[in-house]
Amino acid sequence: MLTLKSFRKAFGNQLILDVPELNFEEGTHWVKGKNGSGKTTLFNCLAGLSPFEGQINLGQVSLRKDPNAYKLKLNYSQSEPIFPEFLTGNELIKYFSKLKQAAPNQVNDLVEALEVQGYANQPCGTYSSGMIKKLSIVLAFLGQPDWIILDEPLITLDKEAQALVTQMITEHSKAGTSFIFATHQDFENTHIIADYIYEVKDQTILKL
Amino acid sequence: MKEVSKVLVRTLVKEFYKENAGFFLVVLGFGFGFLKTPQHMDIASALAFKPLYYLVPLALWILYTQKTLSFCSRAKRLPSNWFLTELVILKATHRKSLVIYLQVLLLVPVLGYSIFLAYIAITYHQWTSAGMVIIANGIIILTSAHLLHQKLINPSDTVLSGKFKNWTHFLPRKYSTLFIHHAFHRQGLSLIFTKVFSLSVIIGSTTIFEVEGTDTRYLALGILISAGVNAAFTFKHQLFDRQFLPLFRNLPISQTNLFLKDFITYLLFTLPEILVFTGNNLINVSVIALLSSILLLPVLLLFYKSITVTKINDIEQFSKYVFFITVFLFFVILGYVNLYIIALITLLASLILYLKPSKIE
Repeated sequence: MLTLKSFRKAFGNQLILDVPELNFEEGTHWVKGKNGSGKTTLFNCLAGLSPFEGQINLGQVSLRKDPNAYKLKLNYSQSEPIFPEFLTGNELIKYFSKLKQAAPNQVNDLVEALEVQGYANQPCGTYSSGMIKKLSIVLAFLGQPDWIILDEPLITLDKEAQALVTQMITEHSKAGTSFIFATHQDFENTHIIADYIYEVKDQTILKL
Repeated sequence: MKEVSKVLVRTLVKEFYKENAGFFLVVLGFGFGFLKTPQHMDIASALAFKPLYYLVPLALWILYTQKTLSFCSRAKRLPSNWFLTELVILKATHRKSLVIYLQVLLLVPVLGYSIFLAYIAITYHQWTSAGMVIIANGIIILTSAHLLHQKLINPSDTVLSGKFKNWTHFLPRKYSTLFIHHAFHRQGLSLIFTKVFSLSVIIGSTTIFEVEGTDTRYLALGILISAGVNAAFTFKHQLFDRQFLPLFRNLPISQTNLFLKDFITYLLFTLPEILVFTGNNLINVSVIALLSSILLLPVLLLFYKSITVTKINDIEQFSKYVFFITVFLFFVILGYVNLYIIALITLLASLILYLKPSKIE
């Protein structure tokens, strides 16, 4: 279970989120919210990229006290990911596979499934937004995460890639991986069924 | 580890040296231009015998180390470098040794000079001095590596904090001044270097003119060379437009309007040269002659920019164009052609190039 306790996030004096307590049970979670409501900020904190006040725990593992164990269990793909234009996709894939302790065959399977191999040797600066998104999804599935956060996983992807990503999510979900999504697309139109739905509103998170 | 270190070296070390290439050029210029090898040896041996004076290079090394740390801190906050935080997953021993390795690479210039100082101290059997240099460097490496480690593994917001002070706030944020802001903040050293060189050329040409007394062509030639010195910034201006102002291509702003705005940019950009030139020649040269020479500087820069707008996409090709244009105009000016005519033709040519559809993707 992913839990937030006395969670607060502010930029300077501007409070973005204040969540006294929230538990994400194992399963698929859909986080809704208007633009600027704080969804991405929440995900950045959950992924350990942004500082916050309070506690975030994954089971017994605290993000603050044991970030390496936490980050091995939780992966993240940003809604509009960007990478240094001089790094190639392969360099990033190798970097993440080493850190996330991914098996070589898993890397190959993911790269082939999302058809990233065709451009992975080129620098990221030459990629289209869809190509970057696919790379980001590959990175989010590397290793053996218990949780994967996908911020707008289907945007900028073509229909074919959207179907592939949906299939990957369904398969991993069946295998026991929990997901947290933010998406403006209607979930019921895809094959993904959300077990829990939340709304980020008025600087807090409401379970619907 | 190799995969991780490769990414970190490219993201932090290579980028640091790339960003500070101008700084190293200036340091090397001062270090090996003004001081010859025997003088370096003299300084190193003097320091070896009076180790208290090691505090001077030590202060410089600390400043340099601070520079590397502030670069890494800035790099870490870039949205594209979010993946650096993931380094925390590595085992602590691997992670720390990797960060020491990175810090050593960042401190190569300091370590190189320290080895030289220690070597000189050892040749004079000044063991305490050599030991001090080695220990000081060891402390610098370990302390800075610890700070870098903390910076890399701790979460940080990509938004720059409110502490960041914009010292060019006195300049309005209009289209014409955006590149000036960019040049001040992102091209600082290169800008200083260019302006020092450009002003030296203008002062040099003024000195020659004062010796000779009447021929204002010397002044015009100084302005021509000064424009050549500043030309690289017109190329940077075009890169800045493409990278940071692509939205302007879709706005209903005519090319003529952009042409006029760019002219204002170059008037502001060449203000130091204009002031120095005017201040030094106002008494000796008629206002009409002075104005014709001054006008040439922003007009030529506008012309160089217009070439990059339509035709040229790489700096090498651009440099060749600038070189040949400068040589051509050098002889045109020597041929007593009126400077107003040169400025007018150049301005018209620039406008035509601005109005032509760009061939650059």
